[in-house]
Formats: sequence, structure tokens, C-alpha cells
Amino acid sequence: MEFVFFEENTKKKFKTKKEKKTTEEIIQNFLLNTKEITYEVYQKSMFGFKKSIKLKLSAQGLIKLQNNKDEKIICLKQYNEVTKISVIDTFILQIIFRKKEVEKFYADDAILIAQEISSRCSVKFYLFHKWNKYIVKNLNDLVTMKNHKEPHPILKRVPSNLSRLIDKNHQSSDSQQNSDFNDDLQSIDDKKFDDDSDRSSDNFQKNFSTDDDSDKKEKNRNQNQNLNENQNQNLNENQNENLNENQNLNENLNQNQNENENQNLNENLNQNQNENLNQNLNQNQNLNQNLNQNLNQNQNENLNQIKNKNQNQNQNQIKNKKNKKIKSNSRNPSQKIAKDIIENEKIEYNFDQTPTKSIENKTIENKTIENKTIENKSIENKSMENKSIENKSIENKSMENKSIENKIKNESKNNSKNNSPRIENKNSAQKRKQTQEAIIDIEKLEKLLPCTMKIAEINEIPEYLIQLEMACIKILFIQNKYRFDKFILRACTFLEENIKEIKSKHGKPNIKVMESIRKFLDNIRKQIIKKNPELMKFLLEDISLGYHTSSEAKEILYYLLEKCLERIILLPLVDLIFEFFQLLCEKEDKLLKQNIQVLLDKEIEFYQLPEKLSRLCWNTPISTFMQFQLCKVPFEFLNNLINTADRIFFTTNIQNENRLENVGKVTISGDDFLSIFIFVIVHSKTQNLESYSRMLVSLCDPREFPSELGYYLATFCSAVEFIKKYEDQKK
Amino acid sequence: MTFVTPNASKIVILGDSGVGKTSLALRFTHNEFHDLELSTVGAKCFTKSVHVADKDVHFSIWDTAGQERFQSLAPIYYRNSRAAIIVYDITQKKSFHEAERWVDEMKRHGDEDLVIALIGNKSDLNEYREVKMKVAQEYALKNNLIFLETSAKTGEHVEDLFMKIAEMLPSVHAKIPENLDHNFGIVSISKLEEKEKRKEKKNCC
Repeated sequence: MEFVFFEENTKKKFKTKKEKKTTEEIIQNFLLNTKEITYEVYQKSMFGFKKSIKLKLSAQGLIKLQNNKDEKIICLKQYNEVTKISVIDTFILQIIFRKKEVEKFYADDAILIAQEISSRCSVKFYLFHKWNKYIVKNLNDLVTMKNHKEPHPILKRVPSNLSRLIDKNHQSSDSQQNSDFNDDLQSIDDKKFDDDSDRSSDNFQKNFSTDDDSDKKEKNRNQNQNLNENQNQNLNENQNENLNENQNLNENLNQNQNENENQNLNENLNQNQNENLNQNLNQNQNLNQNLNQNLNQNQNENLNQIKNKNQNQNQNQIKNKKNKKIKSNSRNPSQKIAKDIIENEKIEYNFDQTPTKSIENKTIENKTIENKTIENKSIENKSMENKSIENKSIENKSMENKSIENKIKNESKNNSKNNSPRIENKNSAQKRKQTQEAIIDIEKLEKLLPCTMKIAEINEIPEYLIQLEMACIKILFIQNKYRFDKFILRACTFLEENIKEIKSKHGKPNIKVMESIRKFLDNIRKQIIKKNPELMKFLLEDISLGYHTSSEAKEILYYLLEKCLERIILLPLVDLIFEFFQLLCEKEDKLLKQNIQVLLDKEIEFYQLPEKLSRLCWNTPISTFMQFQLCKVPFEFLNNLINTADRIFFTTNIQNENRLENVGKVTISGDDFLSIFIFVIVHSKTQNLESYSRMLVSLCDPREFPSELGYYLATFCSAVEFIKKYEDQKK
Repeated sequence: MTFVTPNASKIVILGDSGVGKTSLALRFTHNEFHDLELSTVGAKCFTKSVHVADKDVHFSIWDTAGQERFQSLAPIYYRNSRAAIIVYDITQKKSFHEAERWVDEMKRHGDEDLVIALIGNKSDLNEYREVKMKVAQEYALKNNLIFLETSAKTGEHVEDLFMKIAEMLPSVHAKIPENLDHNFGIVSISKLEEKEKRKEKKNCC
């Protein structure tokens, strides 16, 4: 999240002495010279700026953060009790009080507090040197903006409404599609988009950092913190003992995280299934009750029941008709669109083996209309049971009732005539359902997005970029849903066939499938950029508002699109892709596992690190790399590699800041970095390294190869290669 | 995370360990030198742009490990690079021989239009010189290499080196990333080994 500060009332004096002081002195000076100050904080979103928080500073050193909605007040206690402020994580500021109380604040709050302190003192970035460049950049600008009494010109530039642009894009790109369906989708999307965009970040947090999760994260951070403290304290002690203990801790942590994530996913799936099942069960129960009542009641009463049943029959008939229509409607637009896509498709997929099985039979029914089929099944169940009721009731019926039946039939005919407007209403309801399903699909996708917030934290991506990313995902998903579905299914069948080929041990797997997937991603990204110039222009403007240069903004946009496409297209294929590589690299993975076991017994001296570096404790990068296996799509893996590298440098920086006498200052050169990386990988005990490296190399965005991401990927590949060839080197 | 422009030229720095590869990159990109001092930057992929002949040339500089045991992994790093800076320490003759070996490898396995620069670093330590400038210069002339003696400590000729490389690059526009080898050099190692084995066999016969 990006904040812009404006001074409302100032009743304080500035102190401009530029002397080197400790943090404590700076804070104390700040408090002494500050009486009261109120700030209005503007939150920047993709739709412009919003006044969101009021920040109040009083002479007593209390900081109040007033939220517009909740009026939540965060009291930071008295600053003069503060003994130490340190950055413990990228987004967390730790404040230690004299009474040994430790308070941690997440990015948004921490930024405000730290900004406030830094803007009043001569040390602008004392607290932020490890913070991301965007924040630092913004801070830099904020400090220069400090003396502006008028709103900064950037605030006057409120971007036009994105939803309008989206509408235009919908109309232009989806003109081939079913217009009725599209209108409905748009109308719902228009309504929901504004809400969703505001809620998008909240949804993220809800999905990935629920209260429990946040607590666990805090715990994790606490534990990591403790680990860091332990590192410094126990440097003189046996490192191996610490390593083992901490590794166990980390393993437990990771296991818990895995379990939690799986639980959440399963819960979501189970909820959907249970809801449908419960509905069916309830309906069945009701019907059974009716059955019993029918059997027990008198024949005279049966007459009335027959009336009701016939009415039910009619309703069921209508429902069945409706279901058939749903099926036909649901298939028709997709098939039409699929045909259109095939006709209009300019991208050539390099599938050497075209799938022999008809994909269309498997198609959208399997994924997108799963819910529909469940519903249909339930309705079929209903109708079947109604029929059984009818049969039973007919048995009970006497022939005498025939005349009455005729009457009822006449009535039912009238009823069916009266029901015709309802059918029309139901048709529109069907469309609504379809559109809702499209939105549900997006929501499902959002739920499936793994580690998004973690990655944002790791990669220090500002929240407005995440919001943009969410918007991109929604737009791309809606625009190209059927195209993506078609490709995913095609790739699925092709991967399955290849996996079978590998399993048969005599077949020849086709590795070109990965190239095809990568090409599809590249081409579709190009087309998206070409087809949506207005939207891209708007997005670029919005990105560049975050103080980026035009070329940098372009690269960020490419990066965002890549991330979105990987999530939409690769996420459903990830399991198959990984299985494919796992089978392909079975031997290498086994060899790596064996070599890792051997290398684990080696002492740190084996890695030929400089003495100072070998005396450091590398638990933090090891625990970070342990999360590598939790990643799913290529950019997540790459981010994990970057984060691991960051933690390696972070470890040395901690050492340099604390300046322990027994170790002294340390530096990492290019010569040492690879050795440390190998050490980290070995001690993380990560499996299937060859599969991962091959998968990343074949699926990563080639644009990233010359960049920092590419560098760390190369380092990772080198490390894997080194471990793999360890025994050869020995020989 | 740094976002590299798509037309950035990848430059790989090679050489024996301890010759000053990281220092050279740091001096050029951050104008810093850390002689056993605190380094906040660390070894990684460095980026910088220079303005040559009315064009901006973007560099993405890759630092590598120089130890002997990592030599077989070098292709992973130098794959698809547009220029290679081979560094030796003028106070260590061994590092010059190592540089010669790197030049041979790059000539054999590097791309045809690869720009190679031979750099004698630590020129500020002239008193302890073991490699004569003339020898290195002649070797560079023979092999069509850019040659300079630099000092990462003082910054001498560091800027000149990258400017020369920028001038020597065949075109400002880099290769299209889509043409990049998807095997990322991993397969190329085995290919290289196969080639070498074949050569050995031939020699044996």
C-alpha cells in the first residue's frame, strides 16, 4: 500500500541538527520537540487516492492511527521507553521497550511510524535500509514533499474509471461471444468489479492470511526472530547442534504450514461438496416424509395429494426442460466460441502428437459445469423420487379416481400454461447462474492462488501492484476464459499421454510440450498487449504513478502479466507438469538424494568458505529455501530463490551490524556465494531438485533470463549440477 | 528485485578466485570498493546503462565463482552472454594462466559474436607485479581481445572497459529472448563433455 502524507496542523518545532545519534536519542529528541501533529494519510489505489487513515502524534509520544471506518486506535506506548527499533522482517518493524516488551507492527503501520520518526529527524532512512526500493523511493519523495502546503500535483491526477475501460474491452474482445451471456456477465461484473477491486486486497488477506494464519505467521516470525537471536548468542557454541534443532523447528513449521494450506483447500472443496450433498439429503428427507404421509393417509386425502403431486410433476417437467436447456445453453456458447477460436487461432501449438481422444467430450463439463451437473443430478434425483412417489401413490389409487385424475390433468394443463412466463424468468436466471459461475470461477482461482501474500512480502511488492495484478487476472480471465480452458485441456491430455509413455518405459516422451506451453504464454501475452492498448496504457500510467520510469513500468507490466498468466494457465497444469518431470528425472533425483545424504555428513569446511563465513549460522536462508517445495508456478519458485539469496546477504549483514568480536566483518563475493548456496540447498534436504530445475528452465519467462531472477536460477541450476556430480568429482 | 530491460546485454565476469571480479562489478555499477569492509550490495546480478553513440546500452553483469571445482558449471552462467570479461590479478601469474584457459574456453564454446575482454586487475599494486603488461597485451592482440589494466580500488579504467565493450557489441539490440536456449546450458555441459571424450578417443586412436 502506498501512502501520501499531508500535514494538517503543525504545532511543533523542527530540529535540524545533523549529528550522528543513536536511535533512542533520535526518538527522544523527536518527542521533546513535537507537541501535536495530525496527518491525513491518503491511500493510493488503482482508482485514485482515498483518504483512509488519520495519524495523530501527541507530545506524550502517543501515536494514534485512526481508521475511517473502525476508528481503531493503535497506541504505541510512550516512545521514551523505547530502547531499540529494528527491522526484523521485510515488512515488520520491531520495537523493543524498556520493560522488555516487544511490539511488532506490520508494513502499513510500521511505515507510518517509521516515516514519521524519520521525517522529523536527520536520519531519513536509518530504519529502512533493508526495505524495498519502492518504499524508500516513496519515502524519499515524501520527505521532499514535506514542505508542500498544497496537495501534491500527483494527487490532482485522478485516473479515469477503470471499469469503463474494462467495459470497452469486454465489448471489443468478446463481440464474437454470445451477446446475451456477455451482457449479463458485464452487468454483474460492473456491479461487482468496483466492490471487488476495493475488496481484492482484503480477499487476498482473507484467503491467505486469516486470523489463524496471521497468528501462525506471527508465531513463525517470532520463532524466526528467536532463531536470529539464537544465532548471535550461540555462535560460540556448537553450530551443528543449533542447526539440527532449528532445522527440526523449521521442518515442523513447514509441515504445519503445509497442513494448514491443505486443510484450507480441502475445507473449501468439502464445503462445496457438502453443500450440494446436504441439499440433496434434505430434499430426499422431505420427499421421504411425504412418502410416509402418502402411505398412511386415507384414499380421500390421496386425491388432494395427487393434485399436489401432479403440480409437482409439472414443475419437475419444467425443471427437466430447464435442465436440458441449461445443458444445451452451456455447451452451445462454449462450443461456438471454441470453434471461433479454432478458426481465428493464429498461434500454432507445437504439439507433435495431436491428442487422439476427442477433447470435446471431456471439455468444459468436467471443470466449468461441474456444479451444473451436480445440480442436474440432484434435480434428477428429485424427479426420480417423485416418480417413485407417483408409482406408489398410483398403486394406492383406485380406478374410481380416474375421473378425478382427468380433472386434475386439465388443471395441470392450465397450470403449465400459467407457468410459461416463469420459464422466461428462469431463462434469465440461467444466464445469471452462468455469469455467477464465471465469477465463482474467479473466486475459486483467487482461493487457489498460493502464497500470494507471502510472495508479496518476500519480493517487497507494493500492495497497489497486487491490486493491479488482481484486476489483470480478472480481466484476462473473463476475456480469454474459453481459450485458456481449451488450451489447458489440450495440454492436460497431451501431458497425460506423455506420462503414460514414460511409465510404459518403452515409449518416447515428447519434451516439446513444455516449449509449447511457454510459447502459448508468450504469444498470449503479446496478443493481450496488442488487443488492449487502452487498458495497457492505463495500467502503465498507474504503475508509473508509483514513481517508476517508463521502461521500468513496462517491465513491471510484463512481469504482472506473466504472473497472471502463469496463475491462470499453469496452476491447473502444475501437478501434471511436475509428475512429468519427476518421471523424466527419476534417476537424477535419486542420485541427488544420495549425494545430499553424503554431503549432509560433511562439515562446513568442505564447502571451502572463508573462515569468517564458515563460522556464521545459515539457518535463516535454509529455512527460507525449505519453502521452495511449497511453490507451484515458476515465478513463485524464482521468488523463493531470490528470497533465499536475500537471506544469505541478510545473515552477513546481521553479523556486520552486531559486529561480534569473534567473527568480525564479513563479505560475500561471487566466489563464496555459490558455495553458500550449495550448503543451503544441501541442508534444506529438498528433494526432486533435478525435476524442479528442469521444470523452471523450461517454463520460466525467457525475458527474465538476463535479469536477477535468471542469475539466481543459474545459481540454483549450478548448485544442483554440482551436487549431482559430487560423486564423479570424488572419483 | 531489479527489472532488467528486455534488450539488456548480458556480460559475464570470469577469472580465478580472488582476482577482484566482484569488486570490478561493484566499482562500475555502484562506484564502490569494499576492501574487507561492509558490503550491503553483495554478489549478484548487477545492472547499469551507458550511453554510447547516441544509444543507451543496458548491461546485466553476472558475477561468477572462480574456484576450480566450479569451472565445469561456468557454461550455465556464460550461456547467451554477449560479452565476457576475463579477469586476472597482475600480482599473480597463476591467475593469468587461468585467464588464458578461460579465453580458450570462450573461444571454443562461446557465441561467434561474443566480445571478450582480458583485464589485468589490481593495477594499483604495481610494486608486486608478476604479469608483465607487454605479455598480456601481446596475448590479447593475438586473440583479438580487448585489453586493459584496471584497478577496482581506484576505479582506474573501469568505466573505459565497459564503454569499450559497449562500442564493440555488434548491435545495441540484444538477441530476442525467445531464441534463448531453453536448456539453459545444462545439456550443453554434457554435450561439451561428449565432445571432449570424442576428441580424447580420437587422440588415443
